Amino acid sequence: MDVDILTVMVVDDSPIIVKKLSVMMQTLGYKVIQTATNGKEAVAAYPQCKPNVVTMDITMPEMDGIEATQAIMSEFPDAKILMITSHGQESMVLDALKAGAKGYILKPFQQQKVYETIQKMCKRKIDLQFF
Amino acid sequence: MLAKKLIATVMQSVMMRTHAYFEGEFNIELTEQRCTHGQFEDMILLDTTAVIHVGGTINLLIAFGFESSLLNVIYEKMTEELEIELHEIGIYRDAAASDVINTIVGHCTIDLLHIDKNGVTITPPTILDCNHAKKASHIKNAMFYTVNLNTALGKMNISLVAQPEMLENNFNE
Repeated sequence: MDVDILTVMVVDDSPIIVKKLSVMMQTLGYKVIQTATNGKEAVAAYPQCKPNVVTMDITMPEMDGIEATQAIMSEFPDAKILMITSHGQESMVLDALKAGAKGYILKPFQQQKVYETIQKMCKRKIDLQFF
Repeated sequence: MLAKKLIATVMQSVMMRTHAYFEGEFNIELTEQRCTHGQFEDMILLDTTAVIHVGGTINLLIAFGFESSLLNVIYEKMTEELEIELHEIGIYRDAAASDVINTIVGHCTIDLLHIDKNGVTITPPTILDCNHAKKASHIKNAMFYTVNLNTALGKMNISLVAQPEMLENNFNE
């Protein structure tokens, strides 16, 4: 898996966050193959693009990130979903993990934290060049 | 929890998180000016106002208003290294205001959990269209409590908007 470029779907209702994460993923050597602005779009897009990793916001219109994670995980139990959210409540973290999320990062996010979490989620080596 | 204490607790959390976020992310120092309160229809809106509804026991609107000069600096900092097309600038400026309130109020949910054991819910942020908002029936009779803030780059304000029974007790003390 290490030699392959890791593919990512970014899900967030903020255009700034979508763009920021997309640029960050490119810097880290990952490839953003899909973006979505709410949970409903993400659930619809996942089967088509089947990314290695999904970054998922929680508070979004139409369908929130917890519901979307549940929906994706019920169909694709191997999906790797990383919550990137400003919602810091412990209960929300637990809800996200119960829904099947593999990681949880609080906004504002740092590149190093995003990188480390994704590498661990995908059981890839940590490359120190990104620190 | 008494309405008076609830309002004070929410505002205290929002102010603490706002100071920390502005200093940490933008290196902008905020100084608190006078507080104002009254009927929602009399609330003074700055150039751009972003709003989030906090649900559950708390059940109020939190609004962040920005003067254009301040929001422009926040927008520039949030989008540096990003390529924004000319026609997208308005959307991204609004998104910058929305991201600020979303991050801060999201962090506040950690502080406010003791108020609502079922968890504090928040809606996605929206940019307030004052003409529509002031006609909305559910907040038509609402009252506001605002903390006005100054920065070297422009003014901002933070308001809590709630039904009168929640805020009147505070004003009459």
